[in-house]
Amino acid sequence: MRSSTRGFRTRRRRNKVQKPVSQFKNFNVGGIEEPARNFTGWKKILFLRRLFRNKFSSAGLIVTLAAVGIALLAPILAPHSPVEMSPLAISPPSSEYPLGTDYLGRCLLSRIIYGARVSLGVAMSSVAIALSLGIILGLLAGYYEGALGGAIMRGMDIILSFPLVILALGIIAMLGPSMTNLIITIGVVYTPTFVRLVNGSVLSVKRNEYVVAARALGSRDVRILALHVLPNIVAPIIVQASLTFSTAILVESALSFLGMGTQPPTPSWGGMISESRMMMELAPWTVIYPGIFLSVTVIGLNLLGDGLRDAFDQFLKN
Amino acid sequence: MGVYLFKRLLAAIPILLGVTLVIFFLTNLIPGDVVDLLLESEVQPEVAARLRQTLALDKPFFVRYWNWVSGLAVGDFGFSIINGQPVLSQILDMYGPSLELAVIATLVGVLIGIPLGVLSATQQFHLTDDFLRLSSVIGFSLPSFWIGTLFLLIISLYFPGFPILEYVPFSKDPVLNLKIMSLPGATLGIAMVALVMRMTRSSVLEVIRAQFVTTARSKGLNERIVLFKHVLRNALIPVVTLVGLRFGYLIGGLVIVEEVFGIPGLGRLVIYSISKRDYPLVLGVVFFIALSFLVINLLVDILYAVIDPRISYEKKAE
Repeated sequence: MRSSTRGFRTRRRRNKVQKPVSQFKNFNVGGIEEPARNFTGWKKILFLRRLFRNKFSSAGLIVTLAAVGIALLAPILAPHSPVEMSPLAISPPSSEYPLGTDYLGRCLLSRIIYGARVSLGVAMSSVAIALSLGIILGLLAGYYEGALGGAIMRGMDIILSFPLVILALGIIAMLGPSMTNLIITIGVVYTPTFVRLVNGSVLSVKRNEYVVAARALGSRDVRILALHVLPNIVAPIIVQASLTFSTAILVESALSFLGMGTQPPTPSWGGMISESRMMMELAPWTVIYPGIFLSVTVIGLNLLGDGLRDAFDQFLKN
Repeated sequence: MGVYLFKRLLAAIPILLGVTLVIFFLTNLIPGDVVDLLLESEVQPEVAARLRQTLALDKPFFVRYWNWVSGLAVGDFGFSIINGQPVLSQILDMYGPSLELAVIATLVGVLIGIPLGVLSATQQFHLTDDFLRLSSVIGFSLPSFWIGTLFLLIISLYFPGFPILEYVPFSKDPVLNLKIMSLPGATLGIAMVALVMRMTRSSVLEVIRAQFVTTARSKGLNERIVLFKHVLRNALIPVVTLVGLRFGYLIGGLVIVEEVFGIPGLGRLVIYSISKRDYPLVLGVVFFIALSFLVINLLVDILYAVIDPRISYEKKAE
């Protein structure tokens, strides 16, 4: 398949036909339907309506937006500095410190609010890494198959034969515990999930008429992948990304809890629970509140991810 | 079946070799070695060099890799640097508690998750289903280290007599052992119940719309017989896969739960060996975990063929 593409391309050059494909950019070539091209206008509105008719996914969206809002507006929302210590160590919730203070007298609410930045930021960056690596490798493996595809997929098999947390512990031990390394680690351990997903979707999509048609018109591989293959496999990728985002938050907090992630005094939800364990009988709120924020955020993201998947599923069925 | 099994085992060998290479590579990149940790910093460099020589840490990467892998092939995992014990015997000592926890969590997941999943599916569009679905999302969103910490908090505040601190092996005192394992088992079990329930629900919903179910109903069979003899037997196949594949996830969860509850299992051994830079131990434990993960995946595939006679691997393998 690859060689035939090349054949077309060289012939095109020889005949000096200039930009033969661009005029077809927004048309269905020869009446061949391309699903992603049809996802416009009223269909988008229908999709969103379907998504938000579901009360669970609406709740998920609200929680997610709230968490993102808290993270973005942290300096405005937080009543105190997240690292400033006061003499009032482990004081229960009061009007001055709405959720009390931790064992160093730091305002728990402020630490939780700034912790949202860390948790969401780390999760978002690592999903971005996993997503971009996964799309690139998955497209390559799925489109070219053969030796390259085989090598990529076997490599992913090897990564997947480690339990995720064990692999993450190994990588972070190698890189040294820090926030940047945590992002890299989580990004790497989630890459195979996306590679497999993209690879599988590409394999099923690339036999479609619209891909063959694009190739027959002499499009380059990069163009076919970017404009014809990728838009048509984007739905499962979005769903997977939103579900991975929530597990990435869990992994981030678990590694920080084990002392292998975000390092104190930077506030992270997992690290806060870990630090407060020693004093938890005296100050139960220091382990309870960070956990509630963490759990609610993850629940919200999972509900949103589920809703997205259901909506896409129904959409593809119709 | 025999041919399939042979091919699967054969295919596992390169994966296993890749796994050993990744483990060895990662472990060797961990900054600082055991000699730095064992000896005082002001020790003469010659002494450190001699120690490295006796531990064979000065040999080139591939020589050490070959020594390790050729040892593994004959079941020789090497000796721990810290206490001189054989690595394999240390692993086997710590294996019991981890396996017990994994079995408890799986049992809890299957025994509670499947009935709830069936209930949820049969009550679709009712409030019960909504409630169970929401609980399921909450169940696998809750971070296990937080749930474990909360359990410990409740115990220390309200049930001071409950045994949690000293681990007792099952062979010594089964009752006390189960008491100690109940909370860690429940912590891991919550997520397992949630996932099994979710999978059972969607699987039952898919089967319940199949034509053979309509046939069974229309010939006047009791709804209960239809559910148990026709629906459930077909719906449980994907659930079995899920339970098997979740084992890797369980191992990751074990690291955290063992750390929270202070149970001497493989998960703690991983963290301990990494923090002590005890290379032979890190290599051995992580290899052992990856190996058991691979074996379990293989067993799941075989079990899959046994319960579902429609799947014939000989055909697929050709």
